[in-house]
Amino acid sequence: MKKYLPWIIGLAIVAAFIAILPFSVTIVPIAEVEAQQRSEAFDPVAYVDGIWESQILPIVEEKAVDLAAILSEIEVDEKGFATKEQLTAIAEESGLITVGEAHVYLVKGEGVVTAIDSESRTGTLTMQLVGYDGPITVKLYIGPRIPSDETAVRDAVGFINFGDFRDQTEYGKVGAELNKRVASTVLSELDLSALEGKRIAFTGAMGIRTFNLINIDVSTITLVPIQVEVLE
Amino acid sequence: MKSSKSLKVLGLLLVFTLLLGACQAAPAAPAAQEAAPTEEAAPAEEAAPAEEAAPTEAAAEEAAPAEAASGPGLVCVIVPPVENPFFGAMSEIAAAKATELGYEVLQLVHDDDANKQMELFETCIARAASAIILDNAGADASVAAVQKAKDAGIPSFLVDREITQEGVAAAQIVSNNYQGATILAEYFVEMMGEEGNFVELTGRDTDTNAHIRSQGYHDVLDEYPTLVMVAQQTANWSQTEAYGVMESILQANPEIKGVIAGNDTMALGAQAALLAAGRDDVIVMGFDGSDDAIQSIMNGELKATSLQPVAEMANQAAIQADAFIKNGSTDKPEKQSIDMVLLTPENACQYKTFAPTGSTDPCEVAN
Repeated sequence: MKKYLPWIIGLAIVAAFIAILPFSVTIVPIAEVEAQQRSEAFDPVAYVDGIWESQILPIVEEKAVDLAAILSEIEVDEKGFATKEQLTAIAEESGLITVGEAHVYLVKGEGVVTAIDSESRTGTLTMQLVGYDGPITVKLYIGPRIPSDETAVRDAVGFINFGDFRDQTEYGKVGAELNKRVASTVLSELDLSALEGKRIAFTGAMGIRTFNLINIDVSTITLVPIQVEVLE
Repeated sequence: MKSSKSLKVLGLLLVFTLLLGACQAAPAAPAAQEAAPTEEAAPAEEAAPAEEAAPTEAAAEEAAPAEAASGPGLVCVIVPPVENPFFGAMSEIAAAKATELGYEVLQLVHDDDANKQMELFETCIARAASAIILDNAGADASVAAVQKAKDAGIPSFLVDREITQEGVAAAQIVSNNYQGATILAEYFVEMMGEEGNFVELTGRDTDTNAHIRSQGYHDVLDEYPTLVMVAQQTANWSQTEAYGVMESILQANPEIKGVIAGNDTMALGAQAALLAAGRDDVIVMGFDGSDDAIQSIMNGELKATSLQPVAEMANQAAIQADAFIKNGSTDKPEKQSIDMVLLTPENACQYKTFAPTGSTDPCEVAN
């Protein structure tokens, strides 16, 4: 009897199967289902809500290093390039190096705003950094967007690790959401039209990608702001 | 394991269904109307799972007669179809590094089929491999195979694609497709002047990376209401298919300014179709950083691609496998995300075979 039990159950299932067949059957690719489950399961906005004020802001306050001092250490050739070796030495001392060999820093400083580019949606301001007179142009993202491949905030705070997320899409979305948080909090409070010529104090995150690059272009460094204060 | 079990159950079900269908067809006239939809529906569904289920059992039998391991350790290198130069390079570089480190190497191809992948794992387990280097056949579907190797005491080192479980593989050296997609899309936005009509060609629907790349593109492009996607179609990673798809899209939508493709071969196919139609004004971008794409960029055709860190991943996998075999640890986190590099007419000539050539001479685009 035991021997036939699976067959009886099987036949019962088959009968049920045939009964529902006339109703429509939709075939969905597995990858699509996986993608859906993933996006349903993870909410980058809620994740960032949970860390922005409680962890990100305090860590930046505590760990930001003087940007002028870091930039002064970088030797730049006439084309605006620096070598990976010397950048690595500086990052080991003052920043973090990700597994993907991006050099990331939490920085602070003051600068005088010399230009505003708000033509592109990934707008920037250019500043003369106080305490630095080298060849590197220093910019700051002013929105309304910050490029999604810019993951300096995520990477520089040091506690958001790839291994803590299900996959690279979740990890990537955290980076993009942190940028959006900057745009909606820090940047929305700035009056861009009145910034030119003003002296500002800032904290922010800076990233220099070095992986698979021989000479690294450091002619311009663009920071993601985390706090901006207009001084005068 | 769960999924392969449920596959078998499904396979059994289908067999039942067919048997039942056959029984009904002859004698039972009143049942004919009800049976009709069954017969129509059955063949369509039957094809895929039945074919996949069959070789699994055959393979288990083949794998059973184990060969004794002897001499230097064996490293299995298992990758997707090598018709794509990306996977060919991955396999060759990993094999070369493992050979250099003193291992015997077995190079295998799973054809993006999780069942075949399981067979290959069983072969490697039967041959008592020291390590397996794997570019896997599906983020969820591959967990079982990697777990099976782990249970047999064989560490797996994943390259390129990740799996959705941690603690099963010894290392996951992941090509950060999401970052590569966003960096490419940001450049695409810039080249498009933040506005205009564009077409997206997506990869094979069953490949996780097709979705990750498309997701990365859209997380950037959808921020611009002035960028309008007039068509989104798959060309299944294929150059010839992309050529045909592009031809027909172009007929329906001549007013396009850009094409963003999920890989280089599709970008090259689309580019060829556009050039054949006299449209050298369309901005076309690919993904992978293959030598063909680099050549095209330097010929002034493709405008950009994202370079996959193939050489780095393949070398790292072999090095970390060696470290693990010798010391029981890789000294790295399991999940390692490796960045992609944006290749444009300004730097593309400085890369070859998925790695920097070492030259820093400025690139010149031919006209």
